[in-house]
Amino acid sequence: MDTVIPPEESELITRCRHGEADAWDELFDLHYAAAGRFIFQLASDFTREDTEEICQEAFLAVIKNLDAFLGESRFQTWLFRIAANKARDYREKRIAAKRGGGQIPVSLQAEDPESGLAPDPPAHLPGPDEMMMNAEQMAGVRAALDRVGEACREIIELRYFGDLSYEELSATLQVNPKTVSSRLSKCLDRLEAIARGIFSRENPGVFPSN
Amino acid sequence: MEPERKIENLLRAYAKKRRAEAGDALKLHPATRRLLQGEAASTLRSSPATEDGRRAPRPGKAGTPGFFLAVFRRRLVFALCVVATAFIGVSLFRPAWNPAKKGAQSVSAMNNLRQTGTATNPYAGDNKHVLSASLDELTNQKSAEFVLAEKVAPETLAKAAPGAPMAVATPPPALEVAGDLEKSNPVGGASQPFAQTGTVSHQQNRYRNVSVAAPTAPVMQSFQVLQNGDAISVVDWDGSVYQGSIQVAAAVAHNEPVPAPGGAVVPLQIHTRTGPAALNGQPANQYYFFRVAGTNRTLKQNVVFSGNGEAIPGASANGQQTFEGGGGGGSAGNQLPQTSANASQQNWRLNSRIVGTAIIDDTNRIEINAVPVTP
Repeated sequence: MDTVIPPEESELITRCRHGEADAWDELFDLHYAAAGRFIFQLASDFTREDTEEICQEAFLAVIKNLDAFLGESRFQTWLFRIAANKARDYREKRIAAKRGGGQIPVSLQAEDPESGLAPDPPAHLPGPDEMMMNAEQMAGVRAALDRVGEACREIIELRYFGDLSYEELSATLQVNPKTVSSRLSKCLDRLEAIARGIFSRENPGVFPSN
Repeated sequence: MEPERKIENLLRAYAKKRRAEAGDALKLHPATRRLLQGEAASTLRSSPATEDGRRAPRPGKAGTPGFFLAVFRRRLVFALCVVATAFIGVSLFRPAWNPAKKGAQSVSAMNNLRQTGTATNPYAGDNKHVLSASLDELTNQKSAEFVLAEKVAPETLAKAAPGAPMAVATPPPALEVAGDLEKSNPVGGASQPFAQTGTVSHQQNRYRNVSVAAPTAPVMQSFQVLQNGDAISVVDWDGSVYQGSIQVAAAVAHNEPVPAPGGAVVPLQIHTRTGPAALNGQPANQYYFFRVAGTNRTLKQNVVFSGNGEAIPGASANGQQTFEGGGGGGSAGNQLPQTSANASQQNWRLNSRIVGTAIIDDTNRIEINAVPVTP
């Protein structure tokens, strides 16, 4: 497959491989914000702190595996795929921490022996106002994405959250653009079926049948 | 352009909402920048770049044998395990790779061949010495008249076209496999005599149980007795084969009384009689007793048949004997046997009444009072 990477980007990557610190800074500045915005969409409960942590992990992976980037797709597309994997790992780790007691329970009634004040730990969930506004819809979409399967989730996230074109998806997934179209269509069908099941139980009016 | 689907609208709405929630674009924190720069420096320092900026491939990197080994290591291990399991399974179940199992199956196959082959001689005799080529026809025969004879070459059966008549080889050739089989896998005493070559003669007679309980007896209503040396086989009316040995009790005096006929059980001791042979100056008759055992193929139960009868030493093994009467427990009415000049063969003629007991599965006792019948 032909290289679709622009010459300036290729040159930047080469400089990074030679260990030029300026090149790395330029690379970070070019893609850090876009990666953060993409990561933030990958879960409805990601905070900025979560996004920064995942973004840092993604760029560390880029540094370690820059030689694996063959230039068959845009660097940002490659970065998004890494970020999506890191975001998935982050979510799974957090879910495991919740199940396995990764958070230390704090008694809300216990007073500090010195100040005499009760602790007020920050909630990891969004505030009440956020949860009110389209929360069910968004949660339903996110829940459907979580159930649609890894392959479908990746192509949907890259398409709708990363705003990748069919050509970019084709280069990233190394398949024909028509195959991308048909695969995306099938994945959307699947996602729609799952979402319809979710909304029919929680809020029947949100997702009317076609 | 296709209209946007509902799910696409939801996805875009979700993305828009999340982007709005994200607020200002993320900026790389200086501490994070230093961390990333430090990681880049250490990574690139450990592996210097080549001309195109790529680092030299290390063991286990893409494009090297180590890479493929690392990537496909689990699959290779899994494949090797599957192959090993398949090999072990095949070696266990394939007799050619398991000498013990091969030997056991050979013994079983030889016994089956012998029985099948043995059945052909009298069967052919009943069919004007023309043998049906259908092996199934022979093996599925369930008749009181079904008789076993010894050894017809199984190759002869196998070569015959289905449905075509086949002449019986006379005398039947010895089974070449038998010698090897006896050397490598000695079988039990019951079947050993049948592994001998055709030079050892044998004889056979048919009997019918004439005791009162015979019509309702599940076994031994009629049967065939085959003798080969000291070995004896009794073939029941349903084709069940019981095997055992025969023993001569002792020579009897010529002037002693004949055991009373009429269904009385003759004890397994020395019996005396004054038979026609003695009257004609022939060697004194002897009494034999035998014991055979086997599984009845109809009842699927073990049957032990022990009995006794008259034995005539020096009689020809292949001599034909015709008997009359015997029904209703009357006198046996024996005629003189047609003896052969070959007196060296020490076979014992089974031409007299057989009296004994058949025990089915150690519980059911059936009295046997059998008389020879004309083939």
